Amino acid sequence: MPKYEAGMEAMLDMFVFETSELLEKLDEILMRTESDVLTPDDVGEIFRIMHTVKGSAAMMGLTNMSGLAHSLEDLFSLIREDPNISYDKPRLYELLYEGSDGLKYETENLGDDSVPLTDFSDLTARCRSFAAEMQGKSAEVQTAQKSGGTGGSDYYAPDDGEDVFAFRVSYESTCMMPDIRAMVLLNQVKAQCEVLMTDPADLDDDNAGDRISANGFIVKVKTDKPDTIEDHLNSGINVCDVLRLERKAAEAPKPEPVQAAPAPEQPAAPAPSAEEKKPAKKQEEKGGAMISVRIEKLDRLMRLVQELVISESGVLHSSDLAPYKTGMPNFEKSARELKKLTDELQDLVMSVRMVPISGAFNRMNRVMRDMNKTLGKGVELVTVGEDTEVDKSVADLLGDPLMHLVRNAVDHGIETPEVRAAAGKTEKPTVTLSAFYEGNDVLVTVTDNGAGMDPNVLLEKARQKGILTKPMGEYTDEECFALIMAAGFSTNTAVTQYSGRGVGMDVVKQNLEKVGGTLKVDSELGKGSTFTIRVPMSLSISSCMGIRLCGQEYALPITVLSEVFRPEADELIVTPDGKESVLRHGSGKVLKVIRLDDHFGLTGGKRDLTDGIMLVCSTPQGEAALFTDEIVEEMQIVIKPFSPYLSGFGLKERGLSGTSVLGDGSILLVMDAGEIMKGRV
Amino acid sequence: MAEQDIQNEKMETAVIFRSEGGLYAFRIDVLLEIITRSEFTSVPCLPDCIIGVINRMGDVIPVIDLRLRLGFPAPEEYGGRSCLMVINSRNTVAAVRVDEAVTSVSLENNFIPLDDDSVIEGITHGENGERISVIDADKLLSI
Repeated sequence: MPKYEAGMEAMLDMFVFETSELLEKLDEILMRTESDVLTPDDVGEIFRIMHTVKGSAAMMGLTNMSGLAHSLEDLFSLIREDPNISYDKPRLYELLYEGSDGLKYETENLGDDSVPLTDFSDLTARCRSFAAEMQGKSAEVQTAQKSGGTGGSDYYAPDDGEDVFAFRVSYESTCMMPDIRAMVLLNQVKAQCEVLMTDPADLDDDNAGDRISANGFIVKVKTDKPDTIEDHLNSGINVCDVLRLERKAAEAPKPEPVQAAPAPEQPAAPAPSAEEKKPAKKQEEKGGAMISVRIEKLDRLMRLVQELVISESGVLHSSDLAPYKTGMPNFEKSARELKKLTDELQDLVMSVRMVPISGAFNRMNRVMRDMNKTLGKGVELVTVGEDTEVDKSVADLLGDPLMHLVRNAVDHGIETPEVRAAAGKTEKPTVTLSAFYEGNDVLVTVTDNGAGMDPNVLLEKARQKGILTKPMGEYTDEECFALIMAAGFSTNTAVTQYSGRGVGMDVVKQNLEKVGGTLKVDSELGKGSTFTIRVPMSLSISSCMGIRLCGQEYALPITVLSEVFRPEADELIVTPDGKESVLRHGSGKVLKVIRLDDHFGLTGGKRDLTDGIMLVCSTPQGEAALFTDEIVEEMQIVIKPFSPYLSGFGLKERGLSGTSVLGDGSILLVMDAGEIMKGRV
Repeated sequence: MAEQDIQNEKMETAVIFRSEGGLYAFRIDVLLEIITRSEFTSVPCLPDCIIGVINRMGDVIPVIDLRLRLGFPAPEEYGGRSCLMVINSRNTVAAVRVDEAVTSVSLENNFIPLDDDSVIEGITHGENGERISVIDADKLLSI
């Protein structure tokens, strides 16, 4: 049984999306204004956000959410009306944060039937009493005006037939937004019979809710099954009574029934939220109007553009054109124009998916605020490079790792004020988030100026936990820091609300690795630590090196490639049992050679190592030199995994991660150096 | 014609093609299209009869060589009439490389099912009495 009103499934996604977006916006305003002035613009904005949330929650039948939003809206309606009203700001913000968190939690768990609806009545009551205090009244919960009444007007016209019935639907006094309720009910009734008239006629009207509370909602219908309609009306949410109105004597004066507004073609329910949203949006983006688009649509668009480029190439390079090769200046010119346009289109589609990383950073403000409240460390959050743009999917993916890292930095990294004072640290405790590009990757760092980490302490701790893999003496500092990302490692002796369960860092690392990202740790004892996340800027486009092997082209992601060279004879080392290695004079490293043709069981490639090319790859497994015939060029490609059918043959395990369809329609196979080197270095 | 009849007719028609000198057929409801070009990209580490992959409208689909799949030796060279029959069975799309597409045949009153577990689901006969083996696409793809 869903928690929201039946028939609203289709709206759920939209509701969750809009509400989450609004609540995020609310958090942003709260963060900005908590220690600053709350301008009338901000007050108006918060009021609008709450109003919209209230409306759409009521539409979904979520009375708990709409009730809470209503009480918060009331607070801001007071502040908006009287800018000089005095109130206890910290308390107000506590209420707002609590409310925002509650609404967020509720929104996130809407689809999950195992999580019960939260009862916000306590919080709602506190908001009400706060509002009452602001007004200087006693904290008395207002009760809505009793509905009902017998209203004197007659809703029947003299020429109405026997099959015309009028009903008065009364709503419970506690019902929020009866106008929205009535609209939903009306749409359901419309599906069953002809609705002749309603009172109030226009449910979009601002006073409609009050009129319904006072007089009930009148529906006049033409039907031969009045009992069914009555039952249906009775089943509406929050309906306490349905009365079938009797006809008055014929001589009764004709009332002024408001003619039914022309029935809207579409279900009218979503309209209010859409309309109310507009002003909020407008303020948000001064640069221009914004729309939200489902990411699947963008994916489809991108795919179509790729198809277009492939078809274009097919037409322009058609073999049918060969006989006219030189005599087509106009065709050539048009072809160049077309190429320019499709190139631009391709770039544009890519850029549409890019979003600034500031969204992910802003959420950390909130995390920081809550932690400062509980831990009392007074840490300041500094952000650098929040304009850096990444693919939307990458931005979403960074949220969780960043949260873990920021929590860890504040909880474990930053010392308590006493310890800082004792250590003579005068600068403010800070956590810095920064983002910048490096090649095709985005680097996001979380730096704190806290205690830093002692490699020896980490090592000792790891020894006790039994997670060391080699003798203690052989660990470099870098490897020691990497230990904190091992499963089951936590240095804080006390488990706090925020961290200390020792599951954080290894999960962060694994999640990043799944999408081709990495996490590096650096630290200086007494000065602080830096965590560096490296992820591809876009998960859909990768920079690859095209290589030729046994007459066919393949691609190798450039992220793993550290060096490409043609070996000299004196650099090659062959052991008596035939194992081949190559010595790099520059670094003095000896790298194991893996012949790609042998690895894939191919024939016809170059066999003499001095004829071909060595691709030095570094992966978490280690370093090795992959031997291939030649390299072609660097390219930007979209890598697709193999279809489930082809994956069933174990291609991934053999070192082929997927395919890429090139501009001319041909297919490249993409190698995975990590898998190729697995168990061999 | 009622919809049911159209459906039946569809089920009961098969497209004949030649491979290794013999005649074979796919039921028309598994056949998506016939592609006349025959170049493909080889993929290592696959069973021998999956000779590579092709790009079909942006999707990378496997190419199965019917001769190899049926256990015949690999051809020296395919002739110019060689083509790829694109089939879809249980949402797996694959191209099957054959020597030549020939014609179609109605299986109505002209089909002898084979009940063993073979890739050949039954036998039908052409206009001149020649024997045609109807291939079970699902079993063909189970490699």
